[in-house]
Amino acid sequence: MRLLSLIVLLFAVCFGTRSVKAETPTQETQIDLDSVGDGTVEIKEHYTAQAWLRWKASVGDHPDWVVRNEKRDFAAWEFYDFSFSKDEVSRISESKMKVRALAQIAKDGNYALDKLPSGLHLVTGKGNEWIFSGFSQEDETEQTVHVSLPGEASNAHIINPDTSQTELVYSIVRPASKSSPLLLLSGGFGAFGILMLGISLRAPKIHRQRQPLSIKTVTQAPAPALPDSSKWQLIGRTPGGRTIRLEITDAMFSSNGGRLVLGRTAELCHVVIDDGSVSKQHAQIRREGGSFMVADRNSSNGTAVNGQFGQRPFDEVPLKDGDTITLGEVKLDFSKG
Amino acid sequence: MRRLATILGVAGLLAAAILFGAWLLRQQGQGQLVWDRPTVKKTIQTFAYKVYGNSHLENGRYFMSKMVFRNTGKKAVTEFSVSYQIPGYIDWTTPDALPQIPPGHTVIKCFYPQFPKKVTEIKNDTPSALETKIRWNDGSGPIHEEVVRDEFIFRGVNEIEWTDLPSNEIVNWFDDFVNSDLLAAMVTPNDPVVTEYAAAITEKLGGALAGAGGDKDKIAVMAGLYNYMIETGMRYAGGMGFPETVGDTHTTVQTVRLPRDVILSNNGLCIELTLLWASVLEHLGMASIVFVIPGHAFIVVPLENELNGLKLVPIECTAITPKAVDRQGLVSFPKAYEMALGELAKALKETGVYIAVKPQQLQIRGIVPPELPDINIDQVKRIIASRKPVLLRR
Repeated sequence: MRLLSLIVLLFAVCFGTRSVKAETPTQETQIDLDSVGDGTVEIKEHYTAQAWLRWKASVGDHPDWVVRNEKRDFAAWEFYDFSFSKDEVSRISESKMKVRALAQIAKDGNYALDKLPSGLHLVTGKGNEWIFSGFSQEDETEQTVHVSLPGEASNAHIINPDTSQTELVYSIVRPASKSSPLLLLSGGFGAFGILMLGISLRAPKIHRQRQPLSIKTVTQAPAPALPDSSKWQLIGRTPGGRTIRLEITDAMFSSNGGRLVLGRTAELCHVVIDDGSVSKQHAQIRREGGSFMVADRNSSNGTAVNGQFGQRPFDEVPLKDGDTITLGEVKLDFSKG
Repeated sequence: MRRLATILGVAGLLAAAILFGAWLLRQQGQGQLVWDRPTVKKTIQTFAYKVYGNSHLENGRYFMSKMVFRNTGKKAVTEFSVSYQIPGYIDWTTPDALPQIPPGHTVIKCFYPQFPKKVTEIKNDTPSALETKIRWNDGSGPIHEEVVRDEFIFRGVNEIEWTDLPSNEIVNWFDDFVNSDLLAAMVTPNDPVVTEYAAAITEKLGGALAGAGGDKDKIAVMAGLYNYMIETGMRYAGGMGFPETVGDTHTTVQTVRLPRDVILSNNGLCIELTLLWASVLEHLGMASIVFVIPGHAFIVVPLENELNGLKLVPIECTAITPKAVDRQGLVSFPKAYEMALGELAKALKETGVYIAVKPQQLQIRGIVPPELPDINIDQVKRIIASRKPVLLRR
């Protein structure tokens, strides 16, 4: 009998304790902040039976009244987008709201969340997740507040702990300006361009291998011989002492419209003079009837006849038998062969 | 090769120029500060002037002015500041400044005015104005400055505005008394007049009262106070509040005198007598509750143990005047308790329609009484002494 009484007593104590605990009103708050200090707040409240009765008497089944009361109670906040739900059986209400400037930017550029209920103590705070709990004298409830900072947050810490002025302070590490890649690319391309231009300006002039004189012969049907079919010669020496002997025929003039181009590059000339001081297309000799005219073709080192350079490129100067043409550093005597 | 290098070089410089131009375009733009019309209290209840200066009270909702600023531009707004002035009462405040408001950010500025105590000299509705000066630099040139002016009314020091909700938001009785917590600012346990009144009671009862004692002592103190009031001629004075419209708010404004005025005049409304009870009890170290139900108010004292099913002792303060409770003869303390007990039980267990204002707790949170004008305490002593009780019972 005594054992049975003891069991009953123990059961009553356990049950009674659970009953007392079950009637303790609670409030759980989740605060999620974004990178500009705005955020969402979700509040889940569990009421005692008596408090539920009063809550029903004051706002009843009117979610709009709940919104009105929340806006009045948190008038210093800036709400938008509010939603509300309740569970009659469990006596639980849930509010969710979006708030601007939940954490405000301070003078030092840090962000401060100062909207924590008084009477709370820090339970744990690491990185971007912070949890506070305690008993609120104002609401006479057990409260838990969970704060999630944005991913960019750093250096989060508490100031004025365990007071009515507790603040959670943090800074935001912002990514590099969106326009920085443009600047970097611009710089990169600019450097590349300057490098390329530098290379082109400094590139050494390509000197061809010393080869035997080559005379370009035109493999076309021989033109009718001029009444006075003649050959002409250009004979001279390079600065290095190499002898140059070039033959120019009437047929060559006939096949090339009466004009022969002299220069360093075989693909671009009729008469090739292989010397570095001669441009790719250096000069031209035009036959007009029985006379010849020579002109510089905008060469790098100019063309002279008997030591006289032309005024401008393509200005024609008569060329006679016995004249000396100077192309760059190569002097050639023009004579009838 | 040389030609290729030249082409690549020119192309590279051209690309660099284009990208740099695009970057320059992105650097264009400036900040843009926008804000809505400020939310400004239409009335200031001067008896509770200290409440408006407390930014940490009740989630900061007792601001006088609230402005929401937002930078909708592409660049930061710099050199931002807000300052306030209430001509005749508060000179231009030190600017509340922020070096910059980044793009996309919202900043809320609330003004919690530190009113001078001279506002308690205001006896009737007195128009005034709040001026808000906003300065900012949006990068377009010189610093901008704008002054916004909003008018408001100072209530007389003995006027309580029970609600400041807009008419279209009043849906039940609670909404009509949403400012009830401010009653805590009318509980003045440290007012010299209350101190003298409590001292007179203590002296007449021949010893220290309350505070340290248990339930029995608390009830004894309450009985002593009740009987002292009767025997010194304290009377219940009739009177009603009157509805008034301010702007778009519907409000019941009631003249409620402070405890010192009730003591000196020796009469009071139900709410005034209840506030006097709360002030004397708090001075004597006893917590109390100003219990408000539709159309009435009375005092309630918490107990450690149950008494008649409640751990509370309510007293019908107006029973000191029998006619107020429809009685012919003297209403005893137990009877006054019995009257209030019925109302209290009904509110707690049936209707749920009541507001329990706990002055001690609220004062700790920041709803504190005003600094009152100095008073000739010798004269007060003479007035109190002149009301010698004929018979004093414990």
